[in-house]
Amino acid sequence: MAKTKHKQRRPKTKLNVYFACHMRACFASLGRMVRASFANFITILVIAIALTLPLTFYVATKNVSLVTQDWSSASTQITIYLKADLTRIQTQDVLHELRANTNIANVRYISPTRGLNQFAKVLGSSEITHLLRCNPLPGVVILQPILSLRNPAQLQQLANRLQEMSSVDIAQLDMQWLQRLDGIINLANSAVFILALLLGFGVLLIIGNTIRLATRDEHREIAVFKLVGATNAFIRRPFLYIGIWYGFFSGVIAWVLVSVIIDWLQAPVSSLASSYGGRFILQGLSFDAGLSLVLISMFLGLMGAWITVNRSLKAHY
Amino acid sequence: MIQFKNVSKKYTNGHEALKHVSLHIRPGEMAFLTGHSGAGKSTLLKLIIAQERVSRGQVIVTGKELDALSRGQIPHLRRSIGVVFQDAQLLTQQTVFENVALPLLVSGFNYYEIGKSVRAALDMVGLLEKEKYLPLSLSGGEQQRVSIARAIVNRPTLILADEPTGNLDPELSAEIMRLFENLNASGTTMLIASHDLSLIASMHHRVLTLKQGMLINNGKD
Repeated sequence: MAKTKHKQRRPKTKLNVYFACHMRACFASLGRMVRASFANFITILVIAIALTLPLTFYVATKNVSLVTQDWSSASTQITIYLKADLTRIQTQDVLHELRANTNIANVRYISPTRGLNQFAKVLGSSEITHLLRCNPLPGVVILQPILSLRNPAQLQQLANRLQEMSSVDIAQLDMQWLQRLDGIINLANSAVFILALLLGFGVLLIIGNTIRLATRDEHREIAVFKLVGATNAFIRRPFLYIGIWYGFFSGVIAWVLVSVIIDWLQAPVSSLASSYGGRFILQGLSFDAGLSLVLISMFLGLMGAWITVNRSLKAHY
Repeated sequence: MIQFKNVSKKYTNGHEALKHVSLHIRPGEMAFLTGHSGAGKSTLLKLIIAQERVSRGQVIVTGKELDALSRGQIPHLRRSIGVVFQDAQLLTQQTVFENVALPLLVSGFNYYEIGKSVRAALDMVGLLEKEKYLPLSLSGGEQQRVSIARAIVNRPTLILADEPTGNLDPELSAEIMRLFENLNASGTTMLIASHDLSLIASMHHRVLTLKQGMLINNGKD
């Protein structure tokens, strides 16, 4: 009799029960965090700052590479020194040929005479033109490649092709310093990656340790739960949710912190840029990046909690 | 209901808590387990709820061979057994109601069903009006009754009690024993470990006696 009644009281669908258990654990853990709000707030802040560090570096390198992209598109050029013995007609042929080249956006010719005049102007004396018996300067052509061509390998290839032209003495690609800068940025990027990896591991440890302390306080309670037939999943669940909540709040705070930092840096960056006669607006975290930050942080929280709770569950039979 | 076949239990520290114990408790039976402290009473109860595993022999509870159970099956075994300890083992941060609801909560019952069953159980132990109290604000006897309510709330077929009256005065002890007899009368199998011999003698039930890990009296003859 008692047994049939027991059967009737059983819940109808397993899925419903599962969902209800999750909702209960989810909000119970939130309630538990609110009750010990100060200690939890500190923990969340620690995690948030650990997340903010690599994030700020990430945003910084993103902005720097944006700046250098601007630079490289503005200043990438190939300088061609024509052979000295070209006739005027030969020079016109070369310029014509270069202008017809679909890889070249802009061609600027500096004739030997103009070159000499510029040279004299730089020296501040027109005497030099009189001193020299003949003009030693070659014709110079300054080329700007088309935008779609602006990666180092392709540019080098173009320069090599120009070098092979019969009337060209030297074709010189002015981008070595850019390549160096590019290298530095790549290095910074890998440093950020390693930093993020380390600090992500740190977050894992912080959350794990916090959960470990929480489970130690509830050692007795876990024993009681086991006694009344709670499965490991049931006992684990609220702790996992605590980890997820930690991750969520820390991620959101880190997002806000980075946005505040960017905002704060905008003014000095603007004044620096304007002193160079430019305008530069710092790029913050995009919505997608912020969202992934929160999701990654929640995932780290879940992992940290999982690892520790499992350890402490194994201590009980 | 409970069957021990030549069971020995040796702890990792070398202490041999049980030696070649064989016993059989039938469904609906009420039995006492006595012996000095250290005689192996608690170990025997722990083996029944799979808190410990046998070193040798076989334990069969509600038709299941415990050694063959996987870790995942143990919680389900425990849900069919109500357990009462000397210290009530309650969750101090949670109310009386929440404590009693625990076995139902872990089995996934909904709030409506939980409310009904918990109040029925609290009514049986006479603590209905204290459901909103925290355990520490109750007396020792009341705490013990809360743990009994928790043990009976999902109507288990078997109840184990380890020194349930250990901390209580004789009057309260007798009251709790009467409660156990009532539960037994409604069909629940009871196994109660106690060293309160005078109380046991007054009750005329089967008595099993352990001495230094050996069952020296099966209580049947």
